[in-house]
Amino acid sequence: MPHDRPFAPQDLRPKPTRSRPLRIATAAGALWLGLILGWSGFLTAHQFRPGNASTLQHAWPPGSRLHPRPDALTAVLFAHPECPCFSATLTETERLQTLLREPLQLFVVFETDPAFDLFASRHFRRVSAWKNATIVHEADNREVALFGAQTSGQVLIFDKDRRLLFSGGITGSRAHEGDNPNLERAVAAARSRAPKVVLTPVYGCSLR
Amino acid sequence: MTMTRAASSAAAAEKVNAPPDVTALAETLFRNEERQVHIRTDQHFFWLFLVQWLGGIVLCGLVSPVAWQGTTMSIHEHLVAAVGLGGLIVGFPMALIRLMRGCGLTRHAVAAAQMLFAALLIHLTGGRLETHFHVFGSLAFLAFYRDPRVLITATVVVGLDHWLRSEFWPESVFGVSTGSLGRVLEHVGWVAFENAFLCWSIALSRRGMRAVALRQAKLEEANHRIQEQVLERQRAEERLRESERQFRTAIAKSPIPVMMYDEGGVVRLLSQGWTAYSGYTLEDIPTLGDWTQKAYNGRSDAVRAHIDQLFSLSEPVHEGEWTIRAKNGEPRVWDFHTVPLGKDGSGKRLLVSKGVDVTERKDAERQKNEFLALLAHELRNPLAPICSALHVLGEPAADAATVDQMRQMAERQVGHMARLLDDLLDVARISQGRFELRKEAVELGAALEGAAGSVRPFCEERRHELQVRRPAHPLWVQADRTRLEQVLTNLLNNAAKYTDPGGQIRLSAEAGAAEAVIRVRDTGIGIAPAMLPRIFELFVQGERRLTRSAGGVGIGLSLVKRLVELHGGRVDAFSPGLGQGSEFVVRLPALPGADPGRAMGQALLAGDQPQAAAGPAGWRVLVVDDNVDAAEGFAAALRLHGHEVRVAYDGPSALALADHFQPQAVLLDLGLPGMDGYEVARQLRENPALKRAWLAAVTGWGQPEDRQRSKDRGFACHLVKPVRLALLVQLLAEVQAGASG
Repeated sequence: MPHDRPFAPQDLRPKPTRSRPLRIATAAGALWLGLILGWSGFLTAHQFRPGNASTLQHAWPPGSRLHPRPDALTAVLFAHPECPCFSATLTETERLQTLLREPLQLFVVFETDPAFDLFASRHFRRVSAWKNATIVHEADNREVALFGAQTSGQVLIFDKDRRLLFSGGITGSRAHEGDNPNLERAVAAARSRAPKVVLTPVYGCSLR
Repeated sequence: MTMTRAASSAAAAEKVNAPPDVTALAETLFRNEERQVHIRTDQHFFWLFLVQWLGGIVLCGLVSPVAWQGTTMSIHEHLVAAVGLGGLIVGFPMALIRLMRGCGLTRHAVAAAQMLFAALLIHLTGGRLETHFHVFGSLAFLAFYRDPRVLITATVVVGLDHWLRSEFWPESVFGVSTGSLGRVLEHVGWVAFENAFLCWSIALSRRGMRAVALRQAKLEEANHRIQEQVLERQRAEERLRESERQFRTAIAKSPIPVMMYDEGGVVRLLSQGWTAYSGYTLEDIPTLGDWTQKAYNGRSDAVRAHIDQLFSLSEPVHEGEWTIRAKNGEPRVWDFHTVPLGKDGSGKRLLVSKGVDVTERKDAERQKNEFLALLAHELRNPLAPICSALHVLGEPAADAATVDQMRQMAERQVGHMARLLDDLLDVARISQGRFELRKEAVELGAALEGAAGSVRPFCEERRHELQVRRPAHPLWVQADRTRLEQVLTNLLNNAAKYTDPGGQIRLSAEAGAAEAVIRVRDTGIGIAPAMLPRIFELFVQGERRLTRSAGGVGIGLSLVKRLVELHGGRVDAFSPGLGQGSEFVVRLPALPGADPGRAMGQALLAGDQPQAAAGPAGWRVLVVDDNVDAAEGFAAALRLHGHEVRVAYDGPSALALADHFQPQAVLLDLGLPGMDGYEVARQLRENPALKRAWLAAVTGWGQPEDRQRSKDRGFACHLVKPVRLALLVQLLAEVQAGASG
C-alpha cells in the first residue's frame, strides 16, 4: 500500500545502553560468578571430605563368622543400604575385580536397622546380582563392629593368609565413578602383597 | 529464512528525501534480524534454564536426596546444590533476559551459565560420562545466537573450570591425582573442535541472513520506487483533478457568460454569468439545440450550422456581435469569442465560448451619439443669431437701437453657449471626482433672489409669472454660494423652458426638520410617470420637440442632482402627469443658529450685469492674443471706455510693443504660440518700467490649480474665456481706481 513517507526502517538495535545499568549488571555478574565459584569450591571440598576409616589394622578379626577362602584374595565391603555414594563404590568394585585378574572373594556387609528395608535398597539388589559376592546382614551388626568399619564404602582386602593388604575407599571422591588413584592403590596393594597396609580415604555416609 | 515483518515494516521513518541506500538498508535489516534472533534465543534459554534447574532438582531428589549418618538422615548436599547453586547459576541470566533482552551481556551471561550448569550436572551425577554430553549439547544450543563470541565465552568458562580443577582437584577432572596442561588442552580441544564447526555453521547462517537482508533491501528499494511512482502519479492525478475542478469552478462562477460544449451538442459547463445575463440555466439549455432554439428562435438552424463549423477550428476566433433573446424575452447583444479545447477522453472535440454582454454599451454608445448630435446642434444654435448680429452690426445703416439690440442678442447667445460648456465641464469634473465646493454660510433668501434675478429676463421673455417666496425667518445653509445659485438657476430655467408662455413659476424656501426645503413649482408640461425615476439621469430627455426649441442637451438636471448631493442634500421631482406641471424639491441640511452677521453680503452673481465703473479713463492697455478677432474685440471694447489700447498677436511682438508702449495693464492670453503667456509675463516683469503693470491672464482653463499658477506667476487676475467684456471693463475700472487712489 503506498505510503506517503519514504522507506527507512528503524534500526531496531538497542540504543547505546545507558552506562549506569550496564555497570550495575556487570557488577552483579561479577558477584554472581564469585558466588558460584565459592559455592562450587565448597561443594567440591565436600566432595573430597572423607569419612572415618576402619580401625582394623593388620589381619582378619578373630571371632568373625565370615570364612574367607584360603585360595583367593578376599575383599570385604561395608555399605549403608541408603548411601547415595555407594553406587560409585559398587561400580569401582566391579572394575577392581576386572583389574585384579585373579579370583577375589567378596563379602558385602550391609548395616542393618529396622529403619531400613534392606531388600528394597537398590544397592542390595545390585549386589544380589553378583555371582561371587556374599551379602552379609546382621541384626546386631557384629561383623561391622569386628572389622571396625565406620563409613559406607569402606573396603578391606586380605590375602590368602588373611593378612590385611588394603583398607580404605576405592572412589576418587563422594559418589564419583571412574578411574581414581584410590582404586589404583587398592589394585596395587592386592597385587604386590606388600607387608604395609595401604590406606586410602573412604567417601560415604557414616555407618553409625 | 525470511526477514521478519517487524524488522522490515518497522518504518517509523524520519523524512528522507533521497531514495534509500540499498547497502545501508540491507545492513539495518540484517542488524534488526540479528537482534530478533538474539531475543528469540534469549527467550528459549530462559525456559531451558528453568527446565534444567527443575530437572536437576528432580534428578537429585531421585538419586541422592538424603545423606545418612547411621539412622539419621539429612538433606544431601547435592540436593541443596541443585536447588541453591543451580538456582544461582540460572537466576542471573534469567533476570538479564527479562531486563536486558537481546543485549550482549545477556548472551554472554547465558553462555557462562550454561557451561557452569553443565559442570554442576556432571558433579551431581557423580561424573557420569553421559553427563559430559551436556557440554557439547549446550554449545550447539548457544550456536542459535549466531554469535561466535558467545561460543568463545562458553569455551573460556569450560577451560577455566577445567584448569581450576586441574590445579586444585585434578581427580575431579582427570581421575588422577595430578593434572597437566596437556590434559586441559585436550579437553578444551574437543570443545574447540566442536566450536570450529559451530562457528562455521554460524558464519554460513549469517551469510545467508545478509543475503536475505540484501534481497529484502533491494525489494524494499524497488517497492519504495514503485510507491514513489504511484504516489507521484496519485499527486499528478490529484493536481489534475484539482486543476480541472478549479477550471470548472472558474467557468461556473465566472461573472462573464461562458459555455463549454462538445461536438455532440451537449453543454458541459455553463457559467453563472451566462445565466445572469441570459436567464437560462443548464437545466434550460442542456444541449446546443436548446440554446439556439431559445436564444435565436427563427435563426436557430443557421446559428447551429455556424457553431458546427467552429469545431474545425484550431485557433481562437472572434465571432462578433450577435443578438440573442434572453429568457424574459429581452433582446441582448453579446460579443462572442470561441476557443477550441481539443478533445476530451472520449475523443469528442470541445469548445469554450465566451459572450460579453455589450447591450448596455450599445445603449450607451447610442445615447452618446445622440447626445453628441444634440450637443452639436445646441452649440450651433447660438452661432446663427451671433452671425446675424455681427452682420447687422457691420451694416453702416444700422441705427443705434438696432446695434444695441444685436449686441444684447449676441451677448445672450454667448452666455448661453458659455453656460452649456460650463455645465458640461462641471459634469465631467464631478464624474472624475475633481470638483471642489467652497462652502460657506449662505442665507437662502439671498440665494433665491439671486437665482430669480438671473432668470427673470428669460421668464419675462416667455411672459411667465415668477414668484419668489423667501423663508419667514433667515434660513442658513452651508453651501457653495455659486453652485447653490447654479442649482436654483437650472431648476428655474427648466421650469421656464418647459412651461408654455404665460405660465406660472413659484420659487420658495422654508425650514424643515433640521433641513432647508426649496421648491420650484411650475404649471408647465409636466413629466410622464415613466420618466420620473430617470429624470435626473445624464442625457435623459423628455420631449425632444420642446428641448430642441428651448435648448439643452439633458445634463442640467443631472448636474443639479450631483451638486445637491455634494452638498449633502437630495432633490426629488414630482408631477401629476403630462400637462399638469411639475415640482422639484431640494432639501439641504440647515445650518443651525448661523450668525446672520456672517453673511458675506451680495456677491457678484453670474447673471448680474456689472455696471461700467465710472472711473478715470485713459489707461494704456496692451492686449496680447494670437486670436486676432478676440484681441480686436477686446481692444474695441476697451477703447469705447476711453482706454488707449495696443494689440499684439505673439510673445515677442508683445514684449517689443510693451517696451515702447509701457502699458499700465496687460491682457495676456496664456496659450500663445511659441513663447507662452507665462514667459511673456516673466519678461515683462523684468522690465523695470513694467514692474507695477497690472497683468491679467486670459485663458480657457479655469481650474483652481490654473488660477493658482497664474497667481504664482505674478498675474493679478485670472479670466476664463469667454470673458464678459462688461466684467472686464468694470474690473479695469476698479483696478484703475485702486491704483490712482
